[in-house]
Amino acid sequence: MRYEEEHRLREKWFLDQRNQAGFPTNHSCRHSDLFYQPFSTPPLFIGSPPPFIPPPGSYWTSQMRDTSRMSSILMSGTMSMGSTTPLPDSERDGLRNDRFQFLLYCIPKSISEPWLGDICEMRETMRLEGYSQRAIIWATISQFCLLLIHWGIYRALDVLMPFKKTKGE
Amino acid sequence: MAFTRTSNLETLILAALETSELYGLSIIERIKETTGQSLALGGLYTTLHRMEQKGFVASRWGESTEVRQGARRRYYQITALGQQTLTETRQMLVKGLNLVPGLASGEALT
Repeated sequence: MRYEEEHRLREKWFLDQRNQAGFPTNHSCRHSDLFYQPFSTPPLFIGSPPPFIPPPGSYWTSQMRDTSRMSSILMSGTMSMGSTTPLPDSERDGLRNDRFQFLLYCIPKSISEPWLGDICEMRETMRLEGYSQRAIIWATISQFCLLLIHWGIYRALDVLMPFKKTKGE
Repeated sequence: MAFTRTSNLETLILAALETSELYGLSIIERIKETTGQSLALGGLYTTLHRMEQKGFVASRWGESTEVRQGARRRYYQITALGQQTLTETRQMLVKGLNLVPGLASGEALT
């Protein structure tokens, strides 16, 4: 009887939280509270519980099941981000540039730096012309691969043919 | 007469640089406007590097814009040796075209 009463209060607490947070699913609760503190019990309130304000960046579950056994709660399903701030395009490009600069360490700066700048210009032009993000990424990867291939062939020829015939010799 | 061999791409780049100093993307645009050929940036810069070592082109660092995110442009211009090589290549192409039956002279191509 005591367990049934506790279960009823727990369910009411969850429903109240769901209604206040305005989630569409029937059983939505704050994932971080339940997942990272599996043995803590939700607080019991007498009267109306205090208003619940989710912090930014919280994770939420889409499905939850109370087993009513050993006070455990099983959660399953996909997680969705509550509120996140995506990086602006300029910062994301900057991060990618850093990665490219790391990848281009074997290529002289007289080639890699203007190439990188031209790629940025090309990406901006493609963006303005209305190309999809996928097409832009694909074009960038293709250009990067072509640079590596051309540079590899150039270095290989340098090694294979160290003596070059120049004009006047 | 000693003749310096150049690849097709090198000849195209020399022809594009004949009139003005250009950087990578503008070289590609000019070649595309003139011949309709699309070049890869990677291939272009490797070829320019090789041409610079051969002495066909000279380069200098240019400005950096916000779009380029700190990367400077590199401007290339044709050298005297590059100009001479281009002239020789042009003359050789004209002579070669004269051998093709049906083409009276290559003057229209110069």
